[in-house]
Amino acid sequence: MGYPKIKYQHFTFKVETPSQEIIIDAETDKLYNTCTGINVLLTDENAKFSTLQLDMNGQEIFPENFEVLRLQFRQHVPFGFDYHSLKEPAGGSKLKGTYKDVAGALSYPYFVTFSLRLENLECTDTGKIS
Amino acid sequence: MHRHRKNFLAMKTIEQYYEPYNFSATRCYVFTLDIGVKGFLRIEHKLPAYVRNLKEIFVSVSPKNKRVGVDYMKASVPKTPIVAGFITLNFNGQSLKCFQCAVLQTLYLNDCSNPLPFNELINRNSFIQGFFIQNTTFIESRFSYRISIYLHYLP
Repeated sequence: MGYPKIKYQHFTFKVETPSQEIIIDAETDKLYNTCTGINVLLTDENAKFSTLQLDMNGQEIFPENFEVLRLQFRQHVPFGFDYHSLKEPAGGSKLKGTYKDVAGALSYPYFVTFSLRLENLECTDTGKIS
Repeated sequence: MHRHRKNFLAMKTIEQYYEPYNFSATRCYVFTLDIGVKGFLRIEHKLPAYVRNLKEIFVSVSPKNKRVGVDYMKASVPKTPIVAGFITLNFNGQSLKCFQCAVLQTLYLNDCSNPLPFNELINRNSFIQGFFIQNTTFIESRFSYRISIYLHYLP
C-alpha cells in the first residue's frame, strides 16, 4: 500500500455576494513535500478579474491585486500542460491569503476552486508507509 | 536545404511551446492604474526598494468597478476590442531601457500567464514612468478601465 505520487488538492470557496472578501486559511497535505503547480477554477468565468493574495509557508507567492485570470485553467493547451508551475515547499505548509471578488460575475453565488499539484520531488521519508 | 534545416532546428517542441510559467522562479509586484475615460494616462509610480532585478513584465486591462463589469457583460457592448493601446515605460530616469508593448486584451484572452522577458537592473528609489495611449475608437465613454502592471523580479 502506498499513496499516489502526485496529489491534486483542492480548496473550494463559495462567493455569495459581489465584492466579497474570502479569507484563505488552509494547509497542504503533509504527505507531499513540494507544491509544483496551481490552477484556479471559477464556475463563473466572468469573475476572472477578482484578485488573489496568497502566502505559502510564510512566503508571499501572489501579491495583492494579483488577478486570478493569470492562474486560470490554461485553455487550448494539451492535457497535462494546464497547471501553472510552482516550486514551493509543502508538507503541511500553511496557505494564507485573501480572495477578493471584483464584481463581474453574471450571477451569485459562484464557486472558486484553488487546485494545487503536490509531489514528492526528492526522496523523503515523509508519509512513508512500510 | 540549409534553410529548411535551420527552420527545423528552430522549431519548438510541444513542451517548449506550451511550457507554463513558473511563478516560483520570480517574485511579483503589482500596481494598478485607472485609465478613466480619456484614453490617455500618464504613469508614474515609485518602485519599492526590493524590486531591483526585474526579469519580466506583464500588463493587463480589466473593468474598473462593479457597474462597468456588469455593463461589459451585456450584449449591448460590441464584440470588438474595447481597450487597445500601447504602453511606454521608462526605468531609471529614462536613461536605460524603454519598454513598449500592446496592452493585452485580457478581457477576452483566457490564457495569459506568461509575462514578457525584460531583464533590467533597477536603481534604488527608481520611478517607473510612462504613458498609456489608447488607439481604438471602440471604447465608449461610460466605460472605465484599470491597468494592472505586474513586475516579476528576482528576490
